[in-house]
Amino acid sequence: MKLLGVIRDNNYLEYLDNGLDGIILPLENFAVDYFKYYSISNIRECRKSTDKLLYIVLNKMIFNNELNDLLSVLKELESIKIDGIFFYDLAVLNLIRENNLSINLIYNGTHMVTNSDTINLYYDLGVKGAYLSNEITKNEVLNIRSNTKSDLFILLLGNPVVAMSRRNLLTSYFDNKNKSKSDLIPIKEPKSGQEFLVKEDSNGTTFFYNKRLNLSNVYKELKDSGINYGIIEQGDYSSLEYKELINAFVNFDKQRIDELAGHNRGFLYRETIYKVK
Amino acid sequence: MKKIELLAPAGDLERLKVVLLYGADAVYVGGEKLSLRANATNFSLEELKEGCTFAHNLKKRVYLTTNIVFHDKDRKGMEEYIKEVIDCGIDAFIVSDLYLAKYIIDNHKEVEVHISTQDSITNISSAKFYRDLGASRVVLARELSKGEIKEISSIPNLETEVFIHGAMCTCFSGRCALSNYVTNRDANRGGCAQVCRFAFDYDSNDKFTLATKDLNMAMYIKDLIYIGVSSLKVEGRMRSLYYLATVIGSYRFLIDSIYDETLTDEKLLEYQKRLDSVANRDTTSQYFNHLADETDQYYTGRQEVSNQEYLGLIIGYDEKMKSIVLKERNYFKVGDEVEIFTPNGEIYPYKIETIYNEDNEKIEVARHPEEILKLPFDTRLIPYSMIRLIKKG
Repeated sequence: MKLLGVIRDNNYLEYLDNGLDGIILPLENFAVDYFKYYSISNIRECRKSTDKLLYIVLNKMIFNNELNDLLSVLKELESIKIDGIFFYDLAVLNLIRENNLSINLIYNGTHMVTNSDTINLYYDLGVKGAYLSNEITKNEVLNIRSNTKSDLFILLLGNPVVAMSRRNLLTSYFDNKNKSKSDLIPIKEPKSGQEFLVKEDSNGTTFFYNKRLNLSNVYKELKDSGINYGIIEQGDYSSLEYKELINAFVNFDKQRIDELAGHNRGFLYRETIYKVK
Repeated sequence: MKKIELLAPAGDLERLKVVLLYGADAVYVGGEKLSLRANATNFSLEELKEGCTFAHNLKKRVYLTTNIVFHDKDRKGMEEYIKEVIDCGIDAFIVSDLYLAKYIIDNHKEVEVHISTQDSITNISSAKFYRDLGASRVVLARELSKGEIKEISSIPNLETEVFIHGAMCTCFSGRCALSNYVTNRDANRGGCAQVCRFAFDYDSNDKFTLATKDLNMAMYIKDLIYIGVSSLKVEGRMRSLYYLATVIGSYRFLIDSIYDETLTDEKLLEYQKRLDSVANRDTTSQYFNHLADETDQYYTGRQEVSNQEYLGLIIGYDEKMKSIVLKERNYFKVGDEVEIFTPNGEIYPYKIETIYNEDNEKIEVARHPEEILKLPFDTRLIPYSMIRLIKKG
């Protein structure tokens, strides 16, 4: 399993030296659900400075007035020779097909990448990778692995994205309360005790689960099953802590990972229900 | 120009009949598998067959929602189920999952495939992708403006369907798993617990809420017709008979009056008011004219208010007593002023002067929901006529 990082500071070269096989760069204006975004020129610089894997995130809902710019950035990304694009909106796939662009695609449907057949259909459409949903069980992950040829990406460690809205929910809330605005707040659902981080930017509002997901306990099993890429987010770790984490995955040290990241295993062993009797 | 379609929800067979009788051109329902309203009373195969027959006899259509984001285990029996529901007579599937859409398109040319709003289609390019895949219609994301809807509706050989009334999701459809994390109920497989309507702790003094007001597009039906939308969709498979009858009946009137060029400002306001009267939340036009903002949201805990104006469903006529027979829904009494309204749009103002119970005894007050009562009335009314309160006596 190759390890990919999502970085919040500027030290990506150090992390690549430290053992990451590549990094994931959310493209400014075209990516959502991240804390740091990169311009095309940033990405070009990254490409020049490393031969390691560079993936770009382009996962926002696209609106009509953005389609021309989208095509332009896709052409630029093709020329930069990035290793792939994580996409959500099918406009990305459609434009790449219509314009015969040579770009590797990874389907990044957030909560919707949950079964083998759909991943296989995307594969047949030319999408050779899929970023699995965080809300499926370990057995479902393994079942998908054994039933598809697609490259599979999984979040090994990080704060899962829970929801995304086009609404400026924090602006509205603070306006209504006549309070000075914050772009990032923690909230808690009182009955369940579940906590979330709410973040607003120019593309809307994202809800993150405020408990880091840590799949260290199944890392080896996932790796042995053939999951191709594991993603480790820097989150709010310091540079030093993040390097430690990367090291702990590279030289697999579950205890150290758990010390740094806790024991939230997400939905690995918890099947969601959908018929309530 | 083909007349725009009015598309209504139905959680069960009775609702299906009511919305079609009240003027819907088509109805969308959930089956026992693959539907995003897992907790609605979904249709069995027998009910689906009966519903399709009922609709087709009226020259109307039935669409089946099969819009879950399925997991591998949900896949079992999918092909057989698709065949079974086609045999029941459905006219189209509303699908979210790309695999399922492609499977139906490739294997069942006899039915249409409509792409669900769960896929949040927000632009021309993704809409074209689905058209080229073989879908005949896309249900657009609820986050679009008039201009954006118009542009997508201009794509040749692709119908667009737009929500005009009912509850809104706070987040993009398909991009929300709040329910999974808070209640372990899968939002994208029909278990959504509507966590966006919960109040969250933020600081010690206040709650953070993200709930939205409902959608009401009565004032913009004319715009939607002129910009080339094919179908107007009402939300709410789990809504009451009265709500559905009033909403569908009102939009039927508005659409027909626009085509007949008889709609006056006065009538438009009257029907807007009628729609507001059955809503249990405030309504806005959401993204149609501008990006949704603070005026489209709620900032308090619970937002719903219960509606007590629905007094009863007319279920027959007692020739001997010259009375309509009704099943009571809410309290009413002698002296109340009401309206009796029928599926074909007739409205009879009526003052309650006498109420009989099932034993033909006079009573002054109707206070037992589900009780069978009679009200003197000269005319036999068609099934599914209803009574609503106008003014308490």
